[in-house]
Parts: sequence; C-alpha cells; structure tokens
Amino acid sequence: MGMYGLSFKNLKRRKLRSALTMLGIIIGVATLVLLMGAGTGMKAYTKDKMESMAGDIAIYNSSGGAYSSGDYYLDSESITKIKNMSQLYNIKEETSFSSELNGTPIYVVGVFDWNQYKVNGTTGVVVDQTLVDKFDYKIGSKIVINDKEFTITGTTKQKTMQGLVLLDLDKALPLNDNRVSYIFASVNGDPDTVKNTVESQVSGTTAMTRSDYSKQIDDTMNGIMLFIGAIASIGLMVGVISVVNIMLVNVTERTREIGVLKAIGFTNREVLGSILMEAGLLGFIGTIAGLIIAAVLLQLAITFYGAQLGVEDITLMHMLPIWLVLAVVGGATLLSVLAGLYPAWRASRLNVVEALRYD
Amino acid sequence: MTDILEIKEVWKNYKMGAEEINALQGVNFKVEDGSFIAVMGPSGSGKSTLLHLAGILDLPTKGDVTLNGTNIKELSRKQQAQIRRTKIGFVFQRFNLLSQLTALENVMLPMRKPDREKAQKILDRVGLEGKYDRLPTQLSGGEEQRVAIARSLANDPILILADEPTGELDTANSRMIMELLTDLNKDGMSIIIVTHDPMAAEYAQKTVQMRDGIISHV
Repeated sequence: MGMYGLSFKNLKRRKLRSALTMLGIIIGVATLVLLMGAGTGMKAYTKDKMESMAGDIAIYNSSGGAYSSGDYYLDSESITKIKNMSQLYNIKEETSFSSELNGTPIYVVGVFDWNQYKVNGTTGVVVDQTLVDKFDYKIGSKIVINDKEFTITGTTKQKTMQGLVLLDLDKALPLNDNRVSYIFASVNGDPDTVKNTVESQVSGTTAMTRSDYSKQIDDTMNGIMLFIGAIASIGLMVGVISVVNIMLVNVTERTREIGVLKAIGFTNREVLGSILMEAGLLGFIGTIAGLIIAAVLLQLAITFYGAQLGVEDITLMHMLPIWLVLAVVGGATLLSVLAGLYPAWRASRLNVVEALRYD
Repeated sequence: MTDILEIKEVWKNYKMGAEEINALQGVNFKVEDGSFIAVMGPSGSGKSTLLHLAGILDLPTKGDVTLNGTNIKELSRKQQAQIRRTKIGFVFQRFNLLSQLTALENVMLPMRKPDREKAQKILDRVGLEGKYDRLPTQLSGGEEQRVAIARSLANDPILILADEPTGELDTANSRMIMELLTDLNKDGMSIIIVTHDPMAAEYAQKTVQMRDGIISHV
C-alpha cells in the first residue's frame, strides 16, 4: 500500500467531510475560472476579430478615439491627403453617427465589410435585435433615418444599448454629409513607420496599427482581469483555509493512527508526505470539478447569450486556453498542498509513545 | 546464543504535566535470540516503557539500549524508522489496524514493495485464509489481533514486541493468540510480551517481574 493509496482512502473514509471541503475549492475555482474565462475569451475573441479587420492601419480624428461616439470626423482635406499617400492602398472609409428613429436614439454605421456581421436576410439595411424588439421590425419594414426612407433587408441577433442600424457605406455617407469617421488601409512597408508618416503629414489625425489595437485591448482587459481575478481569488482563499481547517481535524482525529504508522516504520517525512498528498488531492479533485462546472457554464452562456452579445462564434478555446487551465489547476493544487503544510508538520512531529496512547 | 537486545543501566524520566516520572530506574535486561519473554508487573511499573525502548519508539534518558549489535542512541531518526520497519514487529493491545484498509492491505502497509502473495501467505499462517478483503470492522477481536500479528511479520523481523496482546480478548481468543505467538517462537522468532495476564505469561519461556521502574524478579 503506497502513500498515494493511503491518502486516497483517507479521503474516501470521510466522504461527506471531503466533499464539503472540496465544495469550497470547487466554488472558488469555478468563480475564478468563470470570470477569468469570460475576460480571456473576450480578449482573444476581439483580437481574432481584429485579424480580420480590413487593412493594417486605422486613421481617425485625434479628438475622437477608437471608441468615440462619432462626433469627430476626418475633414475632406485630410481625406484627400491620406488617399494620395503612396504607402497606403486598398483604402476604405467608414462612417458612423447618432440619429433617431421614431424618437428613439440610434447609432448608424456605414459598413464596407459585411463579413464582420452575422446577418439574417441580406446585407444593405440591417437593424439589430434591440430595434426588432422595440418596433417589431421585419425584413421589408420601412424605416426613416435623417428624412430618408429605407427598406429593411436583414436583422442581426446582436443587442446593443441603443438601437443599431447598419447601412451600406454608400447609403450612409450622404446621410452624414459625406463625413468619414475612419479610414482603413493596407500599408506598404512597416506599419509603425507608416503610422508615424501619416500622423506627421496629416495634422490632427491619429493612426492605429494592429499592434496598437492589440496593446490597447491588452491594457484594458489586463486591468479588468487583474481586478476580477483578485475578487474571485477571495472565494478560493476561503476554500483553501477550509482545507487547512479540515486537515487539522483529520490529523488530530488520526493521532493514534499516525503513531501506529510511525511505530511500524514510517519516517517523519513519509507521514508528512502522506498528509500533504491528502491535502493536495482534495485541492486537485476540487479544482478539476470546479473547472468542469465553469466550462459547462461558459458553454451554456455562449449558446444562449452569444448571439445577443454579438459574439456567437466565440468558442470555449477562446475562454479556456491551455495556459489558464494549467495555471488554475497547478495554482489551486499547490495552494492546497501549502494548506496541508502546517497540519502535516504537526502530524510528523507527533511523539510516537504519546500518539499511541491517544484515544 | 547471541543477544539481540541488551538493556544496560537504563533510566527513563519523563514529565507528565508538572510531575516528573521516573519510569525506569537502572534496568539491566538481556534477550537472547530465539527467546520468548513475558514482562509482568502492576500499572506504572515501567514495563511498557521498557518495551518502547526495545522498539526504538523512545530513547533512554541514561544508559544504553543495544539492538542487534547497534546502540540505538547512535541512529538517526530515519535509521530508527528503518529498523522499526525491518527488524521489529509491533503488536498492540488495541490491535491498531487502519480501519480504512482491508486485512491484506494492513499486512502490506509496512512493506516497501507491496507483495500481495507474501501478505496472503502470512495471513494464511495466522489462520485467516479467505478473509483477505475483510475490513477490520468485519473481523472479530481475535481475528483483528491475528491481522496485527501478520502485519508485524510483514518484513520478516528479528523481534516481535507485543504490548498486552490479549488485553482486549476473551480467554479463548487469548489462548489462540498466545498459541500463535508460541508457534512463531518455535520457528525461531524472538518475542517479548508485556502483560497483566498470568495465563498469557505461562506461554513464555521466561517471566520478568517489574516494580517501580526496576526488574524485581526474573
């Protein structure tokens, strides 16, 4: 009978106690993985989407921003300059502006690349689920934006705070006095060099490369994830403390048994090892269970809410990359082993003669 | 005959609360290879302490305990454990089997490399054929003690130390256990038992009386 088998049998002997202790770990791990998984997923998904972004560089009015509400536009002089730059090719414009529909504020985006959107029906004039819910729109319904009438050709499952209307770029531009929010372009040569050239030659503009975007997403998401990670870790810590507690109870309860093990020749180190193993097993099994629960919940969230959030093609691989799984399993197991350290040390230091007398 | 155990001018003091207890006060004692000795005496006479020293569960305050030619003071903790595992078999009054393990697993517990066949042979020898997979709770007291004896034999020890082996058993079972120990002794095993029970002591070749931490009568 090896140490491993003994530890395992000890857990099995007190099934309810072991299960309840694991529950603490399970809840902690599940919460952590759920939140971290959602964050990691959004980050990976956004980056994936960016890869399919048309062009290597996005140019916009410096007073605006990557996520501005669209009140700042590139003026026609800047547009002409940009279009004449030899380093840029495959130039595409995008326009977006706020408007209203039946007295409700909406956001209109002129789309040049419909591949970014999943549309039911055909592209051209597309409304989102929010507007469908509100006004009971169907394909063929008429809508009026900035005094111009359109016939809806398609819908998306996406839900937004405001209503969202997607129009073909050539339909949208005239509605916004031909003002352009973004210019996307492919570049000849190094994107960073071109970015600097654009910004210096066309005053009042900011250019963003893919790696700038990537960095921006990282900066934003890493901050958020650090925060939610810290909050979720509190749950896990509570679980780990309950491992310390229960292992102390186990060790005290088994005082005589530990005396017997020592009497028949187990070394202090072997006793220490078997208690640590037991604590580690509690943590490991709890972590795996927590991980599975989190994975199932994340998959359910994708299945039922993915479309509404506009991330229907996000996968579990986005949310639970191998590094996250390994870090959580390794980290939580290690913490549990550490939690067993004090109880194990106490057990290993027991005086054999006294332990054998223990009732 | 060589001595496998020699206890020379051994003192053992320990504190129990505020009270200083002199459990052994200059004990001299030799055990020849192949002997079967019963140590008797009232509670507190120091007989269990003597057994603990013989089994390196404890070290003397003063004096020398030489086991199989080695002074136990010179051993590291790890070496002490090693000798307990390989040279000594312990049998306790309250059996002290691990309740979560089957009879067979209890016997394999001290083995470095679990040897199922050997463990089964030992269980057969103590008369527990076919009860390999019983848990301690599924065995009678006498059977439990036989498993405990089987466990003490797992690593072919040179000395079996039994602390009140019949203390929790009825007369019939006590006789069975003592007969088993006698059989083992006939096969050459050295055995020391500590007992209150005169009937158990009768099985031994030699009885040692202890009183107030010294050997009063051999």
